[in-house]
Amino acid sequence: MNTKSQKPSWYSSNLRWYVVLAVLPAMIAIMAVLFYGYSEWDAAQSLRAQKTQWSQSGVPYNNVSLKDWYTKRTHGEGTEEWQRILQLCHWGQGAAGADSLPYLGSEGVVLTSLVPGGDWPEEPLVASFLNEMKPVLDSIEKASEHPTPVRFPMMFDGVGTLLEHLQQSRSIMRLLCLDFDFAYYHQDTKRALRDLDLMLATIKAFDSRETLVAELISMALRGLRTGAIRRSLTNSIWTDEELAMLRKSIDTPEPIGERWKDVMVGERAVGLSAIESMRSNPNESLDSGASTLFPLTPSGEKIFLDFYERAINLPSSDLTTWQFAAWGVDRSIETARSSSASVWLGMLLPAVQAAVAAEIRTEVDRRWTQTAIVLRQYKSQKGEWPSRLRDLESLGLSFDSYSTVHGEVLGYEVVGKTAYLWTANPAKWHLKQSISPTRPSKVDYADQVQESMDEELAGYVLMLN
Amino acid sequence: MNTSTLANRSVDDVWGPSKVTTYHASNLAWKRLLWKEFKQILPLVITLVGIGILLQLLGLLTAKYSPETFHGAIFVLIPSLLAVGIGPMLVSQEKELRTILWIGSLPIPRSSIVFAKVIVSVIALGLAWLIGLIAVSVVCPSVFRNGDLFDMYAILWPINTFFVAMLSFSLAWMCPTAISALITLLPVAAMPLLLAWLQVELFPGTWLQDSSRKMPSLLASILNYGVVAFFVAWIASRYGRLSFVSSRSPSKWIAWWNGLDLRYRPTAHARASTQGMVPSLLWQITTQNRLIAVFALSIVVLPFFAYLGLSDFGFTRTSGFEAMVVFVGSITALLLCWLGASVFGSDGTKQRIRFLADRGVSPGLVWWTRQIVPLSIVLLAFGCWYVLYAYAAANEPIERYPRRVPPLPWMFIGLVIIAVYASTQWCSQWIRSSLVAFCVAPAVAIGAVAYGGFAISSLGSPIWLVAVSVVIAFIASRVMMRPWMDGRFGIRYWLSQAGFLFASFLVPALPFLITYATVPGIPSSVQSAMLKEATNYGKDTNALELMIAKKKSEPTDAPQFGVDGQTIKQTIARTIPADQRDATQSVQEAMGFIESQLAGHAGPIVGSTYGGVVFVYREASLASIRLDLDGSEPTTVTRYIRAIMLLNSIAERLRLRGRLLEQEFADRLDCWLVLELKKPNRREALGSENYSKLARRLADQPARNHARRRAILMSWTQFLQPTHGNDFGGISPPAYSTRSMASASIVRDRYVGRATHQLLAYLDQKESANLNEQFESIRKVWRPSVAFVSDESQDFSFSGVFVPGTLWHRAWERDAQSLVAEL
Repeated sequence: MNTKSQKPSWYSSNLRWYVVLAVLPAMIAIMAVLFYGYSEWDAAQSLRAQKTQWSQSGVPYNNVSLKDWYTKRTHGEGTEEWQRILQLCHWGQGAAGADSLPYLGSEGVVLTSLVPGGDWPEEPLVASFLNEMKPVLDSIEKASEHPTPVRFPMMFDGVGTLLEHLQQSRSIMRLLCLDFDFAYYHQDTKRALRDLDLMLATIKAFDSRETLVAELISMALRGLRTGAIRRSLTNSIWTDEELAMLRKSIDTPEPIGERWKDVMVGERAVGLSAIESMRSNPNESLDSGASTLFPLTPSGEKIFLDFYERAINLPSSDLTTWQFAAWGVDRSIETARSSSASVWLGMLLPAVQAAVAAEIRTEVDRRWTQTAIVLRQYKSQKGEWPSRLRDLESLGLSFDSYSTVHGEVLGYEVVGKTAYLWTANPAKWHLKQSISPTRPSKVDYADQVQESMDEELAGYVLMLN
Repeated sequence: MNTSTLANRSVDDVWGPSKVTTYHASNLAWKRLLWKEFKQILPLVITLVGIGILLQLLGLLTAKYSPETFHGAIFVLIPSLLAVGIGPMLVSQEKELRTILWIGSLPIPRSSIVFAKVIVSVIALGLAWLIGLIAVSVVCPSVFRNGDLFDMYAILWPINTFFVAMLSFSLAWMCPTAISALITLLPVAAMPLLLAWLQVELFPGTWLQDSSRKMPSLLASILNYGVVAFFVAWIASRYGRLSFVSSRSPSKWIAWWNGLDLRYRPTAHARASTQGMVPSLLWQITTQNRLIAVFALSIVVLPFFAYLGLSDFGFTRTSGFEAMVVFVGSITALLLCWLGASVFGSDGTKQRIRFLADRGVSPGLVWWTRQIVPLSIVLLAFGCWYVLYAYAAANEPIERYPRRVPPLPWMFIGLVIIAVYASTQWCSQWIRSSLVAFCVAPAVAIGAVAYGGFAISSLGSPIWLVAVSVVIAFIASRVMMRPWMDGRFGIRYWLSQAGFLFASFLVPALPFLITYATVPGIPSSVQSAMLKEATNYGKDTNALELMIAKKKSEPTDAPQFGVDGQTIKQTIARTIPADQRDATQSVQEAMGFIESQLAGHAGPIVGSTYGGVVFVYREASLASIRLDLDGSEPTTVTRYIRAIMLLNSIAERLRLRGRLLEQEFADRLDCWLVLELKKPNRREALGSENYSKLARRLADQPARNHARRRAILMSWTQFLQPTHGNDFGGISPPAYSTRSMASASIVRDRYVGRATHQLLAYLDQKESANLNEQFESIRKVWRPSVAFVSDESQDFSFSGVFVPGTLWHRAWERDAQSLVAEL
């Protein structure tokens, strides 16, 4: 007799929905973990392929390849001479008198209002010091004949890379600034022009562009040079011919786009080296707790590289567009912080917008200096200051040269026999309207520049007597 | 003669009238009552104290990394868990087993029954504190010096546990089952917090708060505990006496709450038994284990009430947010531990699982039907929290949710949750009493999470390997399901469980063990010889740091202040003292000061980047250039001689130091001096005597190598000292790679040992063709990513990253020999 089996069948029961309900969350969790695992594996494959490609094409992506990249782009011919110069620039450092030297001494002051032949208490000390430094200045001239940029012994160690020679390069520039001011004080224009040439040679020698810090130092060195030129324009010491030479020496803008790409490629390699180092030795890392508990996964590293890809491709011919794009990249970091790379992005990503702003500031600095030179040329040729900056176009100065990258015309005013030329207020660089319509005075900026107001104002108001 | 027999005696005769008999009977009853209660609480005390000691020992693994927090937490945790379990173990259990009715029927005053339980509770709690105190004092005495326990407020911990114990005890009388008492304890134990909050709102700034700590004052805390404890005890004394009589709950909701006892529900099983095996088992465990429903309810209700509390009841969202998150998180974590403990706990009590075992139900089927419902609820809750957090983060500024919704940290949190669940469900298989398992589960979970954290942070274990360890916990409970169902708790069962436990501990430790076993070092015989030689060199004598100028005295004039309190800035005239107007003169004075320091100290000097060593080197370099320019000027020659001879003295003194950095400095100075002496007119300028003295010292290769060897070995032995920093004789050690913090020192010592041995071998090399290759291999070990100019680089920098041996066996050393030959 056929009888129905008594064995209960779970799928036939009216409680089977219960089984599905019970199993479903676990299944979804397993699927989520599998999906996450697959996406990480896929990202790891893609990263491996990318690094192989970089390795073959010589693009740096770790300490060793960064070293090779640096070695290939630099020249070893002048290394010894420049190293010797770096040492000798610090001659006397620590001795009682040397501490009072302007620029170089720990107690020295920055010379912002030096008047040729005027009161200068440190002059005898400076004279004796520069007399000792004469062979060093000759060495710089000799060393400038070597191809640039010059290679220096350095160890690439991710974010721990020491750029000591670059830091010390400021000392050479300060020495040259001191010599330049001494020449200006004594109205020795030939010596001053030579100093400016040596400054340019020094800038080129140390212009290796391996990291963002190197680029910032290079910008600082360029700023020292243009600052020295501007200081010398306060009083009329230059002949027309010399003014033309000065103008020519800063006539060409830096190829910022090209420099930017090099710097960001190097910076990316530094970041990747730091990641590699923290992975292989998390105990020695910057933030061992975070990096251990939340390790950078392959997909996180891809986000890191995507950020750099966007940063590398930022440059455009229009600096304003460039700045806006940089702002967009910085904003995108916030979005990326929702990724597994959040801890690492916070530690390793540079402030792109701030870096671009620094590039723009340097360029505006150059334009400001150039305009000041042409103003001097105008005064020399016409016997009076122009009533407005547009009049300088008669001397071949284009609108771009007497305006900021945002198209704002530099501030200009003539009071009696003195002309004032001012650039953007450092505190307002981020604003579209950064140049004050009226000449900045101590009262206007008392809240921002409380301490050494004269020095701060000298940073963006140039007085031409 | 007493002729009455026992059969003839009435109850009154037995318990009765004689004072002596009454005294003896009550005394005997007391003793037996105490003994009974003691036996009843003993399993919980033993298990908790045992696990506490194990956790304290586990904490020793992290002894190097400020362990006070962990040891202190375990010290406090164990008595706290005991306090939680006291009521259910002493009272609820008796109510569930109905033995309370039997004891109540005996001619013993009920107050004696209650009092005996109270005494045993207090003794058990005191015992747990005492044993914990002894344990923590042995393994980590510093917990009372550095941790939070070194504080007047630490007295609140024992007070808190006695308060919780009293609550647990009172609630156990009021609630009909152990689980309902445990769950009721959670909100009631938080009542002092509510009182403290009310005090802040109603009486701010009074003695009730300790403003310096932003918390209730000590007295207010004790008062709050006392008020709540008294109130609950009073209710228990009124309604708890019903426990001695059998009663039925009036409403079905109270009956459901009273039914939180993990018992079989024959009706539920009967209903499900007609539906098929899997749905039946699922239905049965869901109905039987009401903690599943409590947990599911809590993950919705707790965040909801927390939200209400934060938004509508006077809190601003920011002020109480973190405290509320911690509070809700803690309660949820505790419930999660109990949920895990209930997975097998509900079946384990009184071997109820035998019902299924005897009917041949597959252990696998029982295992996964027990796991899937709670696990799915945990995962569902986790998924919901993730989505809610993502939703909240998307609508808030980045400052409030700095991490937004990164998947990896959330996966990490998910792993912690699963680890807690996995360890507690496994522990419910080891511990046969479900109540003990409930009390022990939080400690087990903390131990599991702590070991996982230790494995990741210290043993260098990747997260996936810790996940494997979690999976082992599930595998273990699955594999042990059959003997557990059959009740075969023999030695084989415990050995198997211990094996799984060992495996789950071992797996995350594998990277450390592999590193330990495979990283090569130097042969022990070589190491012994090196250590012996280093010991023979003795200790380094005090080294002098050469100063360039005398330290300036601090200004003695007090600053002057204006009416607004600001410092009055005085106009400082930029005047330069007459003796400092000539840079050359200033430098010569500094040279004189350095000479006087050397004359007053016979020992070694320190190689400092900013001190006198480099100062003199720069002066000598400039003097040399000056000599080339104007060698006929007597002052130039005098200056040159002074600088060179001082530099020579400095190099000589640097060689005396047993540190590699000073040898590197000395190498640079010696190399420079040799190149200097090779220049055409130097012999005339220095004079024969000076020149000869210099050349002979520079040509003394054995002395130089001996100084280098001594410095290498002394730097190495210093490096091996545990208290020593991470530098090798003043320079950075070679870069080593290890993921494991625990093995870092092992790897570092072995790697640096090999590098030291290689350096010594390179130093001992005679002239040979492959010196450059040998140096290159050293460079790759010490500084793999240094960009060198060339192999013959004469590096005169005194700062930055040094590669040891850069100037060894180079041309300048051969030139030094030829200088002497030419004398």
